[in-house]
Amino acid sequence: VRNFADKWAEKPELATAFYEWLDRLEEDLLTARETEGIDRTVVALSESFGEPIRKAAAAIADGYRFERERGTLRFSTASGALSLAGELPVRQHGFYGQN
Amino acid sequence: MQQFLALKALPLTSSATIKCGQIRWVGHFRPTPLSRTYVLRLTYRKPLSPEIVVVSPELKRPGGAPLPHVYPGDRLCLCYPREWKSSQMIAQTIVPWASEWLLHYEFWVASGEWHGGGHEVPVAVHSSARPDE
Repeated sequence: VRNFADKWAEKPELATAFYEWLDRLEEDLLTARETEGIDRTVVALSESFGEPIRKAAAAIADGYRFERERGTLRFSTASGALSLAGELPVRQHGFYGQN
Repeated sequence: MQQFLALKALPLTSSATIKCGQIRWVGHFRPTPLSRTYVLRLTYRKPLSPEIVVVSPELKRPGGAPLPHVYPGDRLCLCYPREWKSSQMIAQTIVPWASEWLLHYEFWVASGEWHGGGHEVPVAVHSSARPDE
């Protein structure tokens, strides 16, 4: 575990920068919580966490595909939500189309 | 009629009508708790394939990029040719697949990459709806 404060006595600007980042993080988390859309959530969280958020989003997207391909992805007929707990199985298929 | 009744029975259905053999169905979808709520409209007349489009909100095209996996007119392209047959229930196939398209669309808007799998083919191959495709 990294100790962010170990150099703060020698370099107080590090403390200032840390608390500025913490303020931005709070704003970004609040924005993300109130945001609708995975795309906007990813953008909001990437402001504070950077590339790891985009990698995590890609992994989550791949996870949905993986669950469908192994037959465990399910669909809620009430909300349209996809998860492992809906009423209907999502049957195997392949997206087609021009792009 | 069986297709119509199954669609109408879905709790996410907003409206469902059948006129002169054509089903017109509208439903609300929220693929994940982080997602927007989308309104989709489906039309179907046997023996053609169901057609489904996003009514609202307007779909984003980051940088002017064309939407992934759609037919002309932004009709969602949810399965390979002949992968769906009219003997299959739309409510149990096309409808869940449409929600999956929406989910992967939101990830695509975020990254520009499609993670939902499937094929890419020339436009000319699928320029119009054909029976059971």
